[in-house]
Amino acid sequence: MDLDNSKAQMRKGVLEFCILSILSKGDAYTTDLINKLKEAKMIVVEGTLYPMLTRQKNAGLLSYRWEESPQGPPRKYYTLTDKGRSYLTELDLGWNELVDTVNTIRNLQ
Amino acid sequence: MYCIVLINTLYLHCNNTCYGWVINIKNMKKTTTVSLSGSIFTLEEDAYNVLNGYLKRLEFHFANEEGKQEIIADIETRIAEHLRESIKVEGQVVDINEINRIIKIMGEPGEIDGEEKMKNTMQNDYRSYRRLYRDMDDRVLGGVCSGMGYYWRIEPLVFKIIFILTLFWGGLGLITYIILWIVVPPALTPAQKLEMKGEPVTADNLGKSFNDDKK
Repeated sequence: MDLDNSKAQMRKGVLEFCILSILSKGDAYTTDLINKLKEAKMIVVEGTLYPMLTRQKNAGLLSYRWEESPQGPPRKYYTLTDKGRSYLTELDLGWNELVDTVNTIRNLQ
Repeated sequence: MYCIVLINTLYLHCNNTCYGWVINIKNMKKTTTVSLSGSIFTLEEDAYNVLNGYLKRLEFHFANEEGKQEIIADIETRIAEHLRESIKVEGQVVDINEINRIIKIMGEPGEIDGEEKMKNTMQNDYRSYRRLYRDMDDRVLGGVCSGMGYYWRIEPLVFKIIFILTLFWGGLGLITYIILWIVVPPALTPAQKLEMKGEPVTADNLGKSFNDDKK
């Protein structure tokens, strides 16, 4: 068992949930997502986000559109689909349950 | 990977001394111009090799992933974004330190997808298979003897002598040689050449044989 790896695995488990949560507040382009996730110390290396986004898009939870940018090439803007929105509601419930469960266990005498 | 090598140029690093600009020939480096996600960048040759190796490792890692092309394209877009941010003067050449810095930010395949998956792919994909090919780089006729030499780890000259000796033995050697020439495929791609030599087909080895070919 290695601590860093365990922490990384924990973060990875909730990364999917975090991406959907950020997008539920409004559309974002990939670099916005990266900055927010890095700020919150949710991801360590930027590469982690890309396979996750593609998997969520292929699962129908997200969709994207291209938007012109003032500097550089067009940017990919991600948005939550209806399916993604109901998926997030379920994850929210699941998260609250999990936090409750863990807290209950930690408070056991 | 959509990294297109456009031209090779030489440029001179200049050392600024109190007497003005002195050209130091020892610092002269070869550069490669690449197109990365629609933008043009000039990279020093070693920086190009490191970036190319990294993209190959990613491609290898995501080989069985449904959205492989898209993931790699997105990562390339992000690398291009980092490069654009780091370039302050037009025509600035990207060096190996810059590429290493960006790769550290993006993360190696193992860091991207968690260590466990990396270990599995190492075991499954890095297996080496030695296969019989005709050696097109070192051949007298069809490269049959040289290819057989690699396959059985025997000096190719042994096969050449056997073929020549049996040539006078009712032409058996000649017929066998022609059949082998037809049946055995030639080693044309870098991957096939590695398989012929029994070396594992990994991104690093492919990069090496690619560079050997260019020489």
